[in-house]
Amino acid sequence: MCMSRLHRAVTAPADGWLMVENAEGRLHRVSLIALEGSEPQAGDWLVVHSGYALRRVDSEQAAAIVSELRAGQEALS
Amino acid sequence: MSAGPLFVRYAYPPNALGYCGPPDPKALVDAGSPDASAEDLVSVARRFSGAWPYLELIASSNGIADPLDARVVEAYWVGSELLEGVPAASLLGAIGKHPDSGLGGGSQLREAVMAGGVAHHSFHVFAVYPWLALLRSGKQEPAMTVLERCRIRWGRVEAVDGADVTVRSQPLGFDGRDLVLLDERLEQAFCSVDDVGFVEDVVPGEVVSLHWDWVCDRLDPDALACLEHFTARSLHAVNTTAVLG
Repeated sequence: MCMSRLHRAVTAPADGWLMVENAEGRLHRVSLIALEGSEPQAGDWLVVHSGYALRRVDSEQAAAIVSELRAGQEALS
Repeated sequence: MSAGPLFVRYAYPPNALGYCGPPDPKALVDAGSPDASAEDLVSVARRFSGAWPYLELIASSNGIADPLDARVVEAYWVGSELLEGVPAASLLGAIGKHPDSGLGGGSQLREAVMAGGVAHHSFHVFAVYPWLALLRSGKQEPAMTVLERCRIRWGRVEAVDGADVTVRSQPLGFDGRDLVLLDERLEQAFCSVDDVGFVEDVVPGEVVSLHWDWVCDRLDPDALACLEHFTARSLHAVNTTAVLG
C-alpha cells in the first residue's frame, strides 16, 4: 500500500482545491480534478500524488497505513 | 550554490514541490553538501520512497554495495547498462513491494516488464503510477501534465536569461492508444531558485536533463543516448500493454 501518498484533508474544498496534511504534518495544496465522486471534507483521508488527490481511503484503512508508516520510520531511526 | 551529488540533482525538484521525500527540501540540499557525511545523504535518500527501492535493486543486482553510488543513481534517473543487470523477476518483485504499487497503475505490469520494462525512473512513471491508466480512460488532464513533468526529459538550451532557460525538447503526447514523443517545441525551465540550483553557467547549445521545471544536469552524448534509449524502451513497454487491452 502506498503509505507516503496518504494525506488527510484539513479544510473544506474551495474552487477545486484542498489543503491536506501528510503523516509527517507537512501541508500541501492539492487539486481535486482527478478525484471522482463527491467532494472530500475536512478529516477525510486521500491518496495524493504529484499534487492531485486520486482516491479516498476509509479511516480504518488509513489508520492501518499510518501505523505501518510509523513502524517503518521507527525501524529506520 | 552547490553542484551536489547526482541524487540530489534529480530528487530535489519533486521534493521542493512537496511530492516526495522529507518535508523540508533544505534537508536534501544540506545532505548533499560537501560538509555532510555519506550517512546524512543515505538517511535523507531513504525517505524518497519512490526512488530508494530502485536504487537498492540496481545496486544489489550489479554487486554494488552503495545504492547512492553515482553509477547506480545515474542508471535510475538517466539510464545505463546497469539496468540490464536487473533480472525481470527481481524488478517485478521490487515493484510488487513498492510503496507506490497501490496507487492504481500497473495492472499489466508483468506484460510491461516482459516487453522491456526496466528499473528506470521513466518506467516507474509510465507503468506504476496511475496516470497512464487515467489517460487511457479518457482523462487527458492532469494525467498528461504529470507524466510529462515527472519523467526525466532532455532538451537543448536555446536561450538563457539569468536562472531561466528556454529549452527545445520533445513533449509526451497520447495518440489515443500509445504514449509517444511529439515534435520538438520550446519550454521554460530554471537552473536555480533562491540560491538552490545544480547547473551553473548554462549556455545555448548545451544539452541538459530536466525534472519538473528544473534543469538537473548537463548531458554528454553518451548520457543523452542512454536517456533517449531507456525512455523509448519504457514507452515501448507500456504501449505494448495498450495493444493487449
